[in-house]
Amino acid sequence: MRRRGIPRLASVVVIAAVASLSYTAAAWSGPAASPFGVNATGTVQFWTRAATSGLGVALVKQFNATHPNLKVVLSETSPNQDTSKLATAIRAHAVPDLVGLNDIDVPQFSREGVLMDLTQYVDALPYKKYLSPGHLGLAQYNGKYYGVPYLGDLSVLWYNKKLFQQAGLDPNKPPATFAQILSDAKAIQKLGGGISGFAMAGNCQGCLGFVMEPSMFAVNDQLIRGPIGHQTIHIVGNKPLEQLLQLYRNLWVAKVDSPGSRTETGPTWGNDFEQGKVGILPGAYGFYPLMVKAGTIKDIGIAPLPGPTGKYSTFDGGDDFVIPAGAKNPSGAWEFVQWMMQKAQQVKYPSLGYTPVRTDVLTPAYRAKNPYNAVALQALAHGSAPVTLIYDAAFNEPNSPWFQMFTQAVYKGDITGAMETGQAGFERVLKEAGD
Amino acid sequence: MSEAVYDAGAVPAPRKREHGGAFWAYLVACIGLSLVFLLPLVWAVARSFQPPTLAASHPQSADFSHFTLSNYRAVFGQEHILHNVVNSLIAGIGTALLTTIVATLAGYGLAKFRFRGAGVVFALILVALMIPFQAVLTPLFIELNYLHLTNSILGLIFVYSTFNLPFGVFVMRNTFQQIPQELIESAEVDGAGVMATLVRVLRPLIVPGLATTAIYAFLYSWNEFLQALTFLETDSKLTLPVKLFDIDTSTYGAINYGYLSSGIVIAMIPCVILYLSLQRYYVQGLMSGAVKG
Amino acid sequence: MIEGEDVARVEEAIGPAVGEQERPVPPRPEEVPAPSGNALRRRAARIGAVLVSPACVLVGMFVVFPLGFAIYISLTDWPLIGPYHYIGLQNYSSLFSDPQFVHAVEFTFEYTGIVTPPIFLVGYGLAVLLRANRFGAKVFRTLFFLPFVVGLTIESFMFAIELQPGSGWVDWLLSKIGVASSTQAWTVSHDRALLMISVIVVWFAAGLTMLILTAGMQGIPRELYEAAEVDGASWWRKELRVTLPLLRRSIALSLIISVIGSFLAFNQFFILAQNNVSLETVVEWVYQTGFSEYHLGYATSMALFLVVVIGLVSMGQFLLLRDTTEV
Repeated sequence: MRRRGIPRLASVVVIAAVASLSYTAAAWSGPAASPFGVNATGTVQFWTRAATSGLGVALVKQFNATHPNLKVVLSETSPNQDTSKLATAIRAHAVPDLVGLNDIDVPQFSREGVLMDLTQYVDALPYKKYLSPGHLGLAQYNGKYYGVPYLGDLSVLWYNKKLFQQAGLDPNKPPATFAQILSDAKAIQKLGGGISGFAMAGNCQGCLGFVMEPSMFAVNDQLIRGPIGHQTIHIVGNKPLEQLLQLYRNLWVAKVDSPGSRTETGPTWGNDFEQGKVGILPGAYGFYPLMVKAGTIKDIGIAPLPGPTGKYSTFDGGDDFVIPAGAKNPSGAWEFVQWMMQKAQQVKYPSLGYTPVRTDVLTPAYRAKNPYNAVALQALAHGSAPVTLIYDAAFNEPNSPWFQMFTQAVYKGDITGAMETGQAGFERVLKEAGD
Repeated sequence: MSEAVYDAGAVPAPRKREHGGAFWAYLVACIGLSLVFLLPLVWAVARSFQPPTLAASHPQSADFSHFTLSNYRAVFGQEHILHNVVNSLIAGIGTALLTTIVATLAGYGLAKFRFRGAGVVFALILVALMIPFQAVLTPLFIELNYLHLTNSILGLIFVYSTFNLPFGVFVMRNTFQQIPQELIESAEVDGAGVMATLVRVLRPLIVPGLATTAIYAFLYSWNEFLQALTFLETDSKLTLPVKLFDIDTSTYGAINYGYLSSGIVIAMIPCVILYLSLQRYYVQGLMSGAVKG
Repeated sequence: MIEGEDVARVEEAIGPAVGEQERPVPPRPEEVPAPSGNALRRRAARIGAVLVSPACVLVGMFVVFPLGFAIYISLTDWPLIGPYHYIGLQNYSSLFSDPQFVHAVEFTFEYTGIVTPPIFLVGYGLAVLLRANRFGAKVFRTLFFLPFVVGLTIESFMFAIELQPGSGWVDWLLSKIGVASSTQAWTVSHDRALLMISVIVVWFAAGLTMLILTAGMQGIPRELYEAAEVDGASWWRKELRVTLPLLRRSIALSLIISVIGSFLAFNQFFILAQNNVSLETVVEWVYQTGFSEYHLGYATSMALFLVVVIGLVSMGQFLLLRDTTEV
């Protein structure tokens, strides 16, 4: 055995083999190394949730028609199953490429590290500073972005201009303080004939939080404070919150709530307003297409939800795009996401009942074409949504502390006791979540 | 023939014509009760022919002059819930088939063959009878997830069939026990194998048992709600009851009562048809369970 | 039930069952000698085992394994995403300090207590009404059983529409009577909503009780009634002395089924009263804990607790009502 020859030969062979393998591996990492999110091919498995699927259904069709090499396959998750479906898919290692996740649900996933880190791509977006702060904030965890805004489902104050006029109120001056809401509602209630001054979904936990929290955001109170893992709640002693509960109590006592308000759980929320029977309705911008369909839109005005003595805000509800870790076609997903965030697509949102997630879409032309959505979009920049793991348990569940506090304060009239109940309830939920 | 089911006992039916007060009291009571039991169902059918806007107001006489097929046309036309009806059908028929086949095999084995471990099998069937699915909903969910059977009609079929097995095995075992052993032996001497015996020789005799098992399995699957609610996650896979629930609760402000009411009637149809036409097998199954305790 | 004529038909097809052995079977030279009794039995045993195996596999996979798995899960804090940890009996110990669980248990008991007597009494009454098989009895029985066939789930959706304040016929009816007006929020009131749901459940379940009791009643010999009549017994006395004792088994069966069903109640409450926390049953709370809040470990411990309770209650019922006179 020639000891010097073979080792030399062997090492040359090995080096050559390793070099060629590395080169092949590098070459295999992508066809001609296309940048992320550009000219992607194949399919994108896109999961959207039933509550907001209308937007996806409409726009995916257009995307597929204009992109011969990239096809988005839409799948609609059954209501209330969005988080469980994604979680079970993650456990089973069978994740989709893109998910339109309810934005308040994103933190629990980013925290577990099961979403793709999109920070570098988000930072590279030229319009990043115009993206909805509320949505983006929910997609952020430990300084990194795990999602981007998808669509806005905002809360606003609807009011009936015709009824305002009939009641002797200025139809171009919607209520901007709590006191005005109460007095305007009372004035309209006096019209009689089945007309009510105010309407709410009094038995719908999610609805109430959606339209009431903005009054707190308006005074810069996020209710749930601090970073995830060390969160606290400030209810007892919270003056603006007390005023908010007092407003709803006063409305209830003054009997200006519409007949269906007490029992409304959501499915028929806003129907009475759409039929022109209610003066003031804090509700979702998403009612807009229904009012158009009911033919009453010309009588209706829109305003942002006010704080106790002025200022306004909105609930930055809606969805964020997230790409699960281990997705097969993240590049294709990102290409679709960028397409959706183009102004050309964003301006199609309002007619479908949704609000764009870019504030730079709000041009005078836009305002002229979408006068109602312009109000919502303007509030978007001042909007917020609590970044926490406990949102569902604290606000949306049937037995949520928020709802218990609401019922005790509004229907039973015990505001102080209600706030104590709320404080204890929130603290319990926070503790169970490990805060 | 159905009379035989009810008159199985020793109480002879007094067929003498009664016209006394007692008879009329009986008749009035029965008719009154029948109306009470029947009216809600009939009204639901009537509802489905009303335009959706009318569904939002109290019943009035005007209701009956506005009959329309629009709710049904919408259901089938836009395919809004058609695929859910199909899912329910597939689940129902699949469950009926799987349950009937497995229960027949097991019932045959238990009735006509002696083998060690028959006691264990009995115990297993008993466990399936005693444990309600609600107790194992959570682990089933995790297990099905690992098997990639969540969000799948096939997964539902497996679970539904398993929980229908006790009843099916019981019925089929009873059925086989009533077959004279000589029949089987003569077929075996003829050279027929087990499956051939089962299919050719015994089939006509076991049809009643098969029908009973299949009907119960189908109706169980058709009406089942909680398991479908838990295991199904995508709109395209939902069975009818879960879809109706989604229609009823999920839309904020835009509930479509038209879809809901026509969906309800569509859901009712197989139950009523199967029951009325195959009443004998349906009731027989219950009776045999009741009498044997 | 095998009818005599069915057997006759088959016999015609394959020849008489008895006497088959008379036909001579010519022996084939290569044929292995006829298997001995032992081998036959072993073969039969093998076939039997094969026949029951699919059932055993299904039950093993979807009942027995999950049951064991459930016990394991109940000792962990299995979350929606992320790893789980073994926490011993912590889930069980926190059950009774959970106000919502305690309330759900109380409510489930309350609900069971409210619906069981009416279901039984109405079912009994219907069975008695049709016992004599007078004119139209078959038709009436069919109609009384129809709500059970349609199923409580579908009927809950029906009533979801009809209980709507301001639009359903139930609300309309009640407002005409004056019990509720369309402005009164009776769907959120505990008592009124529970009453409505109970009425619906009785309407649904009475037919089943009726059938079970009818089957039992058929087995009571007519002579016993006649003898009692000769003794001058009133109708009530006859029921007490003749019917009830002999009906024990059927009564026990119908009551056990009814109670178990009530303990496991979910569909009607979830569909009709999901937002009303005061009407939450145990299974609803299990579902919410497990699949809304994703505390799967905790939910499983609750479910197992429920099963144990059901087992105990059923056993108690069985012991109380069993036929002590029979062997």
